[in-house]
Amino acid sequence: MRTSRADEFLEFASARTGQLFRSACLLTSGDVHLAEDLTQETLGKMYALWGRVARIGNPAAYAQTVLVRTFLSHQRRRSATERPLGELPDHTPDDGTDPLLRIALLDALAALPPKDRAVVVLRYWEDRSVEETADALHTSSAAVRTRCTRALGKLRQRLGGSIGEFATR
Amino acid sequence: MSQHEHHDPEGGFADELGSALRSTGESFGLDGRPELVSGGLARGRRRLLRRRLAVTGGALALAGIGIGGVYAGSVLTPGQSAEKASVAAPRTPAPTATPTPGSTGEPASDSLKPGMAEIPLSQIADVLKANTPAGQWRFDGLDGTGQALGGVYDDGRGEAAVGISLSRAGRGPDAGLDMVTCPEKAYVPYDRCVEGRIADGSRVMVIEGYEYPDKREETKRWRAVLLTKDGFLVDASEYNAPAEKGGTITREDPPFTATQLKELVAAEAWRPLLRQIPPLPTAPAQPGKAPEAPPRITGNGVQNTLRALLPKGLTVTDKGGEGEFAFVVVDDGKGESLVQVNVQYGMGKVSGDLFGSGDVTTLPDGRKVKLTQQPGEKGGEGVVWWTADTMTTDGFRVVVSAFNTGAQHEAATRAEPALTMERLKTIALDPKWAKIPAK
Repeated sequence: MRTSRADEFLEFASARTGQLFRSACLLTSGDVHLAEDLTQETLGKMYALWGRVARIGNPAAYAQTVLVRTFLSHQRRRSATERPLGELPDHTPDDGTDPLLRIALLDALAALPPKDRAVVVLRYWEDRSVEETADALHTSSAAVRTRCTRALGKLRQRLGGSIGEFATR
Repeated sequence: MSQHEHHDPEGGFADELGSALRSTGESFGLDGRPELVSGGLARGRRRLLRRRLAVTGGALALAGIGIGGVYAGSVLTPGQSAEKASVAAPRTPAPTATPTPGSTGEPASDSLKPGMAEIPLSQIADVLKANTPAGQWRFDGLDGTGQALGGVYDDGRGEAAVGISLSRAGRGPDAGLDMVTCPEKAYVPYDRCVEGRIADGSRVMVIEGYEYPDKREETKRWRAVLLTKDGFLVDASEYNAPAEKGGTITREDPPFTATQLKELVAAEAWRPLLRQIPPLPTAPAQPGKAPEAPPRITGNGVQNTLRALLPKGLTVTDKGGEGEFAFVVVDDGKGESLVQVNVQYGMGKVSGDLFGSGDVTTLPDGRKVKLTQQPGEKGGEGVVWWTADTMTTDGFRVVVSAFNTGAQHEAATRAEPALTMERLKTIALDPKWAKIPAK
């Protein structure tokens, strides 16, 4: 029996919303309100495009791309000086990482320009290649590499030695 | 490990950054955010409808999707049976119409085939203009047909987005009642809401509310919904900004008073247009679910069970919810405390997301229990949010939350919720939840 668009979408969304939301929280450097908004917006776009999406090889990756693009387009509409830093949830993940370090990371991300932040999240959180990242951001591989180098430099400057204290998984 | 290790000159730092990002990212959980999926679905439907109705630009394209709830089936893809609304708790616990096989709710007079309504948009615009105070109107594209329209109105005191939507309520005698009932103030803040009947027996609700529940933007949304005795809905919204989201407000209040909104939706002139809306698709021969779909709870079972499990000494000052979701607002004499519960089947797939981190224990019977205490995140100042989340090995989930306020978007009214974490856990693990009928 043919499943409806909604059924397929809900199955997809149940599996992927967690990851999308986490990515959104990193992109917004911890602003959970905005992250929720962006996640819902992304899911909405996926639903509306579902006919096309179902034929794509990797809808999960596509959703991630849509999220980043939605984030950037939202940033363009907002004031350039705005740097929201939202609340952190109280519970700690299993690896016992210091919440202060997590705040420091979110703070450091917030200090990056939005496109640089997007590059960092795609490359180092989503593990995308340079080419995939360039495609998601509608830019060139060279531009991605430049942004990467610059962003890593800034993050290293701010986080320096303490980043080694994040437990490796 | 990471693929870019060989290409990236920053190798070592990049790896550490990856770990740091993962650790930080994983600290943001989906707990208690079931409305992300249902909200996404609702937005997706709005997009589809906007696209199909070919109304573009910044103006409000559609007023028709319910406050937090979702219309079931009436305006979307022809031939699809009315869809289930949300996968978990809706933001407003509004019930939605689902098809009852064998029963038809639509008026017998229609000879139209099921499908999209093809009312000329210019006709909708004409009725809208004729039944509102004089002013300038701007519409994007009146050439097509459809059953909803958005525009921008200006009476000289500031541009305001206005939208109107016409539809059928759904099947069954109660179809559409949730659309003309004032929502729970615990979930949807509003300044005023009235509901009642008018002379011809139609029900009307008029609400003066906000676009964002936590009022992070000041955009007001005033809305009137009419439910006719023969099951049609006329739904009008107006804003104090030229766009529903992201537009700066141009005036203190939307242009039409509550009375004017009511008169708009009650106007006789809509009736000939309403009759052009095709009937809902008939229910399929088999109930409209995939064979593997998990059971869903309907009715008052969860609400009744929640109240039965509350400890003694609490006064219940508000209650609500239907189906798998219920809430109460309780007071032990020290201030109001919101308590809510979701009872869901078939959540096994998201077990990893829900129970992958945090304070999780596994009971001898295989059930997972996760206890969380965190700040509220719907804007209320000083709000804390305590949760006991439980899931069996079959994916049967009961999650109970309590807050130190009567409404999440309002400031804390007491130091801690009225129920202890132990109590929340006991309630969540009670065997009564599994006995509530579900199909």
